Amino acid sequence: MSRTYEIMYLLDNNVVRAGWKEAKAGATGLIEKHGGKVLAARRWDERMLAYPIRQRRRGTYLLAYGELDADGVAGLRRELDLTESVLRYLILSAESVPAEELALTQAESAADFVIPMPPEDRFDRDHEEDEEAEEGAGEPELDEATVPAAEPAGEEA
Amino acid sequence: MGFERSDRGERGDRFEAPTYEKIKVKDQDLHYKNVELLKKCVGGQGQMFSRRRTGLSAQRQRILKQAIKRARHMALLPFVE
Repeated sequence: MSRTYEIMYLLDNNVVRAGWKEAKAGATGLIEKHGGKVLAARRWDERMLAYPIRQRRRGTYLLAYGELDADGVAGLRRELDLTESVLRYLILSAESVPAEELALTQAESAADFVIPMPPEDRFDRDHEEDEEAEEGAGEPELDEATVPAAEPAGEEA
Repeated sequence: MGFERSDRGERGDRFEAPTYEKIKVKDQDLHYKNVELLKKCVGGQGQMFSRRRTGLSAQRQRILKQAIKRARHMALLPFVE
């Protein structure tokens, strides 16, 4: 027996920057792959994360509703755990898809709907700068030492 | 009898519970996506407020707890700031 689930994804901004449609298709495609049906899917928000995840300080949230059976949910969880582009996910059972969500999904699939580009991640830039500096020094061992040091500096900003 | 404030006796020196302004969460939807509301229910360091401060019923406080935990998992709220 299949039930309706609310699935929230936290997607890596680097993947979103490459193309929102592809990123969205990649995430919702997993629902279909595990024998489910996508009822609604839309970009929920792009925001600063409360804490860095895998050196990402920002992320894009994708809110999807789908119909899955119990085995499908277990399979989906397993696969999402292994998917690099999904930083976090949350699967909750929902009684039904809110009408508002269906409308927003419709609006997003319209041709003239523009998805704002995620802003550049400050942390990513700092990280790259560090790498460049290290390349000049020619000491690859420094890589791991400097990356954690950059984290608290970024948080204060 | 009439004690002065300055010379309270052993029994008069009671602990007074601090009073807080209640957060108006009563009629709002407690859900992990309602981040603005959840932010009001956690302290500066990210700790959840007690029922005394949220003014919620036990049942609603449990729902709030669940919502905050879900929001933390999704990096919408900090575990600790």
